[in-house]
Amino acid sequence: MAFHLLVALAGTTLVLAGAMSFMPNAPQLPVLSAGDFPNIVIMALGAGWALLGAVQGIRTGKSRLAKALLVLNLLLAAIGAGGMTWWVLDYSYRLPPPVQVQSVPDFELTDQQGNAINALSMRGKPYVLIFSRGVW
Amino acid sequence: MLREYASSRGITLHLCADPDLTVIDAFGVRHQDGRPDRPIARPAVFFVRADGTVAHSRQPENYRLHLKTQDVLDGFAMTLK
Repeated sequence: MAFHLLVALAGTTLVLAGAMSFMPNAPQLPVLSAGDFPNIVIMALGAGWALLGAVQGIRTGKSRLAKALLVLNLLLAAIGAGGMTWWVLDYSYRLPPPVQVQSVPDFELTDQQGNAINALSMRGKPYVLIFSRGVW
Repeated sequence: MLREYASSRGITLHLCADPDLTVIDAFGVRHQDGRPDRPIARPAVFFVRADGTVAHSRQPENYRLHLKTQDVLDGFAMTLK
């Protein structure tokens, strides 16, 4: 029983460590980059340990308090790992609702051949204006 | 081949950079947190009619989502209507 508790607690610790390691970068760049990928794996591993500890502990253990602790621990690990994964993979990519533009504002840019491009020079033919971000 | 097709259809392509974000701000497509070192544009596509009015625009609220072929065709259809 004590061993299972230890495994489960180690799992939650792993989840917390994985989640905390996102924090330094979180305000500036809350997106999954290649460098963030190990954190997700670490958190998944931690959640797995918490699950393993809980299942084995509840199966073989006798103490009710320990079982309750194991369930609570598993819940914490699952919320931590699931929440961080959702935040990194989905939530961090969200953008505010767009501003609706009814007509093209006056703009002035230079194209690849050095021609001046502006709202007036583009008049007369329909066109598509694409804002591309390079890194997307 | 592409050049022939483009000229036969009267399609021209202009590539422009907006390092000062002036046009990006004029269209309201700034993504402030897009990069840690400097803000960039959110992905946005505007379909503009010949008279300069915007027929249709697509600005996904999740920047992992790209435009699908049907979105582009719908945009063209609305522009040329």
